[in-house]
Amino acid sequence: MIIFYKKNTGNIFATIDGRVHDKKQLNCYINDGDNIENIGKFIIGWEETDEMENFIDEIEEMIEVGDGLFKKVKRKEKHQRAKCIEHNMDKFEILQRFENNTPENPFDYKVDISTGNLIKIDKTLK
Amino acid sequence: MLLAKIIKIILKIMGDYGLRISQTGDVKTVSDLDCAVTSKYSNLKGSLSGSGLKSIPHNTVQTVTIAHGLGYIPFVRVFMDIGQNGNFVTAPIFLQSSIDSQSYWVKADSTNVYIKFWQGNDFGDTLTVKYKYFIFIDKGKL
Repeated sequence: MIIFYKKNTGNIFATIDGRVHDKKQLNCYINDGDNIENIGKFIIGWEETDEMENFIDEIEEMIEVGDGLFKKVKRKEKHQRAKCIEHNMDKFEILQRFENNTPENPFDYKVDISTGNLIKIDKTLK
Repeated sequence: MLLAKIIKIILKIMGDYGLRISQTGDVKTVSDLDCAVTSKYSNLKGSLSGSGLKSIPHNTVQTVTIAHGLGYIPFVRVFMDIGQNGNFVTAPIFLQSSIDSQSYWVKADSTNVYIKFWQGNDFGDTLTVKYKYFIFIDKGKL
């Protein structure tokens, strides 16, 4: 998730959903009428890079061994995928709560402008 | 095998390539409207989605600009939580009651999506509205 916030207040005003973000998404920005220089991005998840990496995928499949008889077999396949950079993975549980349709949403949080950390807004304070 | 007999999915090559699955009738002759799937037309493919919170001062049009970077006018849907109760309603919305007026509409060009907000309630208050947007890869204007 890409979270857009105001650099002067830390208030979150918009988001882009998702866990893995490609270059196109990372180049996107949302502006609600404020000066662009005052808009910050906080990313939770993975950023795709141009670099590729190999990985082994274990695949389970059913193979027909006789008339209507099937056997489950596992095999390994070599694949390539874009290398990803992790961002704020310590906040991944919070992202899952946003995605899981819980009452919690990104606007219950703000970015602490002194530490750059994501913090929950204490709604009991006025 | 049995499943394949029960669910009769008929595929047909259309010209050089393509795929059709008919709902009823012979897949070779039924109209496109009788097909559950036809590769003749594109299906909606998501590109970018998210949400936002916008404060709308009394009687001033506010704009949220989303730079999508697609290079063409995309198909867009935007939903507003006008009742602030988690029930999102699709824009455009033009709401008028004896004490409240709210308008929300959406524009798009090849660079940006523009979500427009306006409210003119009788109390002169600032209104804060939550919205959700879906920008599809599919072209909204061909």
